[in-house]
Amino acid sequence: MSNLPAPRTVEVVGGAPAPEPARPRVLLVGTALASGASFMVFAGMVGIYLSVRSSVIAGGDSWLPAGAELPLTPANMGLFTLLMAAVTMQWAVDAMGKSDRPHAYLALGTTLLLGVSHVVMMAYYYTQMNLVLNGESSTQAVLIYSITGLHLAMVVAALVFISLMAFRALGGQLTGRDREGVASAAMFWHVTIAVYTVVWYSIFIVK
Amino acid sequence: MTVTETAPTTTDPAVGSPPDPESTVGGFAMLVGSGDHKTIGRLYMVTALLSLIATGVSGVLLGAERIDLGTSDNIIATDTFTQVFSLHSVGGIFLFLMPLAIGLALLIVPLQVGASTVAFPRAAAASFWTFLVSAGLVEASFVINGGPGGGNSDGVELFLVAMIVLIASHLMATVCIVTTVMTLRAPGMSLHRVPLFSWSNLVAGAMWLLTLPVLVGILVILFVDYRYFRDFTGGNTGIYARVAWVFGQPSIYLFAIPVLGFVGDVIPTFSGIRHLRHRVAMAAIGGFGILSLGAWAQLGFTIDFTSTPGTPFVDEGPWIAFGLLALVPLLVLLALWAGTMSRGKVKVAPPLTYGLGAGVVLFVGVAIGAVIPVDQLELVGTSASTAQAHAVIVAAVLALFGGLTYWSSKILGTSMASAPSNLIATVLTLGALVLVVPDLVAGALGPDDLDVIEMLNLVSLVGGVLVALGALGFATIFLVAAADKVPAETDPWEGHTLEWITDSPPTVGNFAEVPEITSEAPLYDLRHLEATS
Repeated sequence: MSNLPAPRTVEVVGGAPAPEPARPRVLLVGTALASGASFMVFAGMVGIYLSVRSSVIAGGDSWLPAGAELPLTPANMGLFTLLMAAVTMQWAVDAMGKSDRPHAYLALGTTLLLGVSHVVMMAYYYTQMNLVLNGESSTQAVLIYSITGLHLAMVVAALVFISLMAFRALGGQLTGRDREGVASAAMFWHVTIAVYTVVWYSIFIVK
Repeated sequence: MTVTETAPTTTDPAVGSPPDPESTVGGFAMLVGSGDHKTIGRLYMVTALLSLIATGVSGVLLGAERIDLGTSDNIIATDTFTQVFSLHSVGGIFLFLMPLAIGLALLIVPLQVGASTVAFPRAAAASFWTFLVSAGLVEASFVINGGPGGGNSDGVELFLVAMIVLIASHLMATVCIVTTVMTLRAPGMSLHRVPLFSWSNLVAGAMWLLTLPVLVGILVILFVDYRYFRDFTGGNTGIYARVAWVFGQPSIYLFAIPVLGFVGDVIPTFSGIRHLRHRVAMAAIGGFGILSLGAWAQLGFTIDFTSTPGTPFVDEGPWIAFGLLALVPLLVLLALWAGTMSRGKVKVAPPLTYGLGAGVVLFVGVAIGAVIPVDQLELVGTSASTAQAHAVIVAAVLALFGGLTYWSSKILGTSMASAPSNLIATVLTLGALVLVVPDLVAGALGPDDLDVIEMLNLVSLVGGVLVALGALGFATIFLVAAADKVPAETDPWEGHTLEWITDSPPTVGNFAEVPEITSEAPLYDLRHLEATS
């Protein structure tokens, strides 16, 4: 057995209870760490993309081979869709904080709808790019499909996260005093959008 | 009324209550369904120790292969050399070292910070089972002639996918550990009062979360490339070259950060006094962690990749600076540890032997890392890099084995034998030095000194065998202690940190109550409170 003395105790004057410890924001911190790690995945991939692109251009070639296209309109639409979804997600967090459940549900549903729209838009984009994995543009295709495909996976993961928190909100587990779940989903969603902004600029704008 | 000032932070209703024997599920169902951080930690440790077999055998084979440099195909066929080499390095880091470190952290960190559980216990459990499956697939990929450099395309693809999942599982466990330190500390335990082992896991976890995702991204690109075109991968020859930066300077230090925390915990305990300048030690561990960030020091992805490219970063300032500067925080820590020991009354015990061995071997590894960038020595790309990696990894192994010995009462509920543990720690330390120093010297020699290099390789092999024997000996006494029926004391070492007030092994909820925390050594405070009163 331990040879330690008993833990020190404190006499509380007037019978008042000891102050409650600050509630740990476990999910928020965990989500922040996971979001940071996710961001680093894309930081590395985009770095490789830009490095390879610059080496090709330095060799006197154009980055995109003849026939390959990266049309700007669907990429812009994808970005604006996600930016709208960022606003609706923050609306959900705000509504949840005010215990305004109808608006919170509406905002979460709208966010999910916009997120799915983005996935559909990117799927359509793939049919427009004319980048083939086993042809002349394979190097570019490998990088672009890897980065954008993994980002789509991140969008889907974020949508699953938001859906879970929406179901928890519907089940009454999240309240105005405890909106950590929705706030965490919002954080991951915003990081997902930030990553797309980097991808959008690095791949679709810079070309 | 009188209340305990420091109630546990978490709202887990199981805190402090003993497990209900009626509701306890035993056997395999208990293992699969458990979200208890102690069970998950033990599962990680056992799996990691089993993985050591493949790593150790491949390492000894590689060492034997180098004895005769004049001919190839001595023991390992030329076309399988890359596979054996990558099995040794990938297996050593991702199947053995990281899982062992994660397992120890999952078990000990919540106890040290006074938490009733780890953050996200179900995620921690999921991380273990994901690790188990993906580790099995990584090993299987080598068996079917896959892995990097493998001849079976399906095996190579399996390796790449399994590695992505494996690293993701490690990152998931890391999030649990880091979140535990950040959010589930007992009241009164501000961040600067966190024990050094937990602090080092916080630093290591943060650095892993910043670095290893970059490797995941690279593996995704390599998988898509290998499956569809094989431009970057150069067939199968370029895969290992693309991921080898993790095993080189400075990223290799990522896996040694917990060493610093372990040594920082055992030295004050066995010196009987507080750690000298705890906050400076925390800053030094943080600095060492920052200097281990090395995802930038990797080969560039080039078009028409057909052979192993050079190392474009080695002439760059940051690479040279990181190599030299990593020595600074380590020297600060060594000075603090020497000061702590000189002011205290040192009791020699196995954890201290392991800790001192780990400190010495890590210093050798970091010192080698500091001289490698010196241009005139021409050590880049030679066996000096192997020496550095081996030193850092064996230092981590020493610390982890020391951790398992130090906390065996919490892990197993029994104590590990002292005399054999001291012997094993000594053998591992000497083996590490005999393994490393000849490789460093061989790295400085030129191609005209083949005979000398072969002799040095033989000496290095002897060191490798000593390390393997030490690891085997450790596994043996660990198993013996696991089978032992004599329960360990709650606090066999008179430790300073909170894990030593829990039962051995700790029950569900870990703590009945947590004492008032006013410093980084709450149990040391309690003892002195008693002594002065």
